[in-house]
Amino acid sequence: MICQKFCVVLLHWEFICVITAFNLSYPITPWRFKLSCMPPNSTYDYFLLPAGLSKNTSNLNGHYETAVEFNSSDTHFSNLSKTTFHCCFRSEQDRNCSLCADNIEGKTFVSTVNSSVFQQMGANWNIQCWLKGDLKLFICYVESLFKNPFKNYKHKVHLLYVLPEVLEDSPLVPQKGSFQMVHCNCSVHERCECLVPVPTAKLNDTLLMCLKITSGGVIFQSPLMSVQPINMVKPDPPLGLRMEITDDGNLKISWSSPPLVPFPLQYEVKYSENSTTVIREADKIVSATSLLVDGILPGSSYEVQVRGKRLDGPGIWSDWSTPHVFTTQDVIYFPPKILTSVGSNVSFHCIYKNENKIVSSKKIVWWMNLAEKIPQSQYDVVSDHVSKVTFFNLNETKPRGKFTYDAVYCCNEHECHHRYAELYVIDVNINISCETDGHLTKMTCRWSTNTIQSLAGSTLQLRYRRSSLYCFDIPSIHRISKPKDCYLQSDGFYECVFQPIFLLSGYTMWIRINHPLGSLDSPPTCVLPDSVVKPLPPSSVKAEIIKNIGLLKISWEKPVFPENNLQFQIRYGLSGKEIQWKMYDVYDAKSKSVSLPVPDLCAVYAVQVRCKRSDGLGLWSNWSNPAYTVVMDIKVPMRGPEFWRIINGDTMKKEKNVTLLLKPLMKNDSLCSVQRYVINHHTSCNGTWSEDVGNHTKFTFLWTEQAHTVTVLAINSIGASVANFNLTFSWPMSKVNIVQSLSAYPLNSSCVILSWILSPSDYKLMYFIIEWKNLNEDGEIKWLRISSSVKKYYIHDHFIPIEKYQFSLYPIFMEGVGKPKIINSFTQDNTEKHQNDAGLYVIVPVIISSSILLLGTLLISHQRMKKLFWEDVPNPKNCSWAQGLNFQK
Amino acid sequence: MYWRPLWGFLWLWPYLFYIQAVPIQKVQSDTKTLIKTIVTRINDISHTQSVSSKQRVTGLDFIPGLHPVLTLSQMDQTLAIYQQILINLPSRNVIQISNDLENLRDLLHLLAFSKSCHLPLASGLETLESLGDVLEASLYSTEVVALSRLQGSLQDMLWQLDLSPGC
Repeated sequence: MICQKFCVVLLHWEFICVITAFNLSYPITPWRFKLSCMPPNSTYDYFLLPAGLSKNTSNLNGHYETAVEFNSSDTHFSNLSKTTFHCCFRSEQDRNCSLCADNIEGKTFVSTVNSSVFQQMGANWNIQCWLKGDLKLFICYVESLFKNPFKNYKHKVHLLYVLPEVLEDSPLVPQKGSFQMVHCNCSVHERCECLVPVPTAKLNDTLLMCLKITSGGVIFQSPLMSVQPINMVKPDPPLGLRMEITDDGNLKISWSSPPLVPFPLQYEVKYSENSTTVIREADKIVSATSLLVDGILPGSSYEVQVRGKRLDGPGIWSDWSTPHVFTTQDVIYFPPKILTSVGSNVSFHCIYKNENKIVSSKKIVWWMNLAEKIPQSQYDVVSDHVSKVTFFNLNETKPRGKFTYDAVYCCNEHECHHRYAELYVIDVNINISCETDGHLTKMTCRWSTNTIQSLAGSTLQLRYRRSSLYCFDIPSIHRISKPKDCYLQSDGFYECVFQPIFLLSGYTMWIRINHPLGSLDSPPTCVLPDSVVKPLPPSSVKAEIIKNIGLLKISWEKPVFPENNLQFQIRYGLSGKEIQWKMYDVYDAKSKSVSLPVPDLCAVYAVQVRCKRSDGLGLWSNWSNPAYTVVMDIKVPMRGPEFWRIINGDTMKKEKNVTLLLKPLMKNDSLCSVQRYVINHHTSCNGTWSEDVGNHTKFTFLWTEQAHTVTVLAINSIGASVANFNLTFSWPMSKVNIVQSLSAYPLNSSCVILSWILSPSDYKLMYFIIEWKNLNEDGEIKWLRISSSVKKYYIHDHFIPIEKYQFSLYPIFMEGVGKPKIINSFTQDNTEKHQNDAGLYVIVPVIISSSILLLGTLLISHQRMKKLFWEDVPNPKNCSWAQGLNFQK
Repeated sequence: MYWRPLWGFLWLWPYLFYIQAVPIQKVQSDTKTLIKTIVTRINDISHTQSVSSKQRVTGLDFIPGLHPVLTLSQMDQTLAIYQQILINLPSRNVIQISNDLENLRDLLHLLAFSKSCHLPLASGLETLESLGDVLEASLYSTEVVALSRLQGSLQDMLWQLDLSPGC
């Protein structure tokens, strides 16, 4: 039953709203207004009707009013008289009820238990409506006023509204049933909150609403309200209110706009300053999210609040933000911290308050690190209270322990406040080096931070700007630049790769050091990728010793890129563990090979080649992979082998076996190998013939004729040696003696000097053969070929002094081997003489020294004996019994 | 209409700096070297070497043919078209060649400026909208033919540059 009645009431209310909509609805322009309902017989003590508006007429001249009637016929309510209430809107400021409108029907049903109170006084409500900052909810607050006679009754408030889209079909008259109703939440403080969801797309459309308030058993209906939600936006209060002193010494009040506001806001800033000397308040409206307040004083407190409102068009001020208080210190430095680079000039300002008085700027002195006073020439008086100090051409800050800054103090003559400003000076001279790869597709740039002092909290970034062609003479940091990702390598360098590249575009690069205190840029450098090309090393490098010519030939192929002319550098050396390189430069860009003289033609040489642009730009390539020469025969052997002979058999016989002893050729002489030896024989009777002895170094033949000449040839893959030794075995010549004497002097166990004296001869002496052997052993003889001009010779061998050696000196003539001089031992006389001399030099001093020593000893002994003896003999002067005795006797 | 001289002046303004800083001989030398570099780059792309010159490929008329280009303006125009085509090819090598072409065109403008002539802005391909369809259907043909013809054009330009081409 109750439900039925409630539905009937609702339908009725909707009907009223629909009917009211025929009239013009109340446009909500102020966001806060009043709803007043009064009995018809009231004199409108609060709500004066406008002139010409009758109390029981309605719909005139755009006034808005509904009537509330007490219907006594209702069976559920008794003791009610029928009364019509006129409800109307008015603004807070307007005392007149100028916004009333009469219900078109003039009457409706309402019932109450006791209507006598409001029949006399009427009912009033404060209404606030706005669109929430997130633009999703339209909110209306309904609050009964103190004079409301129904204050003691429980409120029930409903809001009926028509969504704009429903009105689209019939924009003028909403259909019955198109209204939606929301129940408003009422708190104990007589305040009800009604929430109407508004679709985002309909924010600009018109929303029609009316209120139904049930209080004290009476139901009141408001006139129809119309509103454009977008015009009623009440943003959330601004966030993040903060204050700081700027580098210019102003107080900067800043905040953030509330989120989700789709249009710009204006802000009202309310602040007050409270110091010992000044109290001031201000109220400013700004469109930015910050406000600068000048004339800041030390030791003051500033309290600030901000609120926001739509900048363009209608809107509602947000609530004030939470108050924020900022207190300045007794000493204000601005800026409080400076980060700068080496060589720059910076300034600090200061205001100093001491014992509630601001110190005159003329009395302010500046100190650095509490250690050194800054010269007054660097001070400036900015105003009566503001002092300034300037540092010129700053040097890098040297860290003192964990302090990476210089502390700058603003002092009152001899008194410094403990607060200070911080000065960070960093050397930002970072060198960036780049290199373009040999394919001309990639440029790698490297830079290191080792040279600069690391600053905690800082980050480094390479930035660059590319010009279309070439670099300008003086690179400069451009406003528009791009960052480049760089990666730290194991060697401590950062590496950044540009790929692909513009070969002839100038890349101006610098390192930006970002720090909370600011950012610094290293000096910019401009790199043209084309000018930093590191070519690929030359390919197909070959090395060989040229046959017959004997030069080291090195050949190579130039790399594909760059297309510029290239110069080449060759290094070569004997292959081994530690190669001693020799360098050779080739400046002819078209060269592909070079031939170089080398001392050893029969050694393995290692060769490497590298290249670089011949115009001086770019970098040297890496060395190519080493190429090695192969040892092979270059030329015919330089000479034949040296050889000597051993004659076996009876010296008196005519036929003798002669064994030739060949000294194998070394590589330097064989160039570079010996395949075989060939012995050419020549005799007057048998003519000339040859014998191939292969690689053997001993060969025996029969000497039968008076003169027999042998020549030994060395043969390699190129041919036979041209310069060869020969030896003639001749009977007559074997008797020619030109060696008068031969002496052998042993120097030590590894060297013996052999010297000789020759007598004049008519034969042409070619050379000598020295032959020696240990007579105590059956070892082979040893021999040496020495020049004919030599008259003494140092034989290096292992000689044992106690052994006997035989030394022979053979003169070799063109005509044959002469008679040798043979000695069987080392030359004795000279040796002994030397030994005697040595003995004399040692023994004579020893004898002399011994004699002196002995003589001295005897003298001392004699003196002591004499003394001892006379001590035992009594003194006749002191001893009676000894008087008269002759002790000498 | 009245803005054209101003645009022309602004277009030439950067070149005024370069001409002062870089001797024109170096610009000429760099131009030739860059052409040789691009030619070598194309040679290095293996699949362009195996293309037979005897076989004519149809349907790729938007790629400039091997007509002799006599003036700097024609060279710039031709290179602009090639650059436009290469940008649309996905190969990595081709991107580098496209960058080289941009440098080369800037050098041609610089050479033109040194001769007191102003190269008009190259219009490029007008029918490039259809390039996407062609690329989708015949990517390989387009790349091979474009690179092959570009190589020929560059060699032709190299020869022309020695003859001091006109504007």
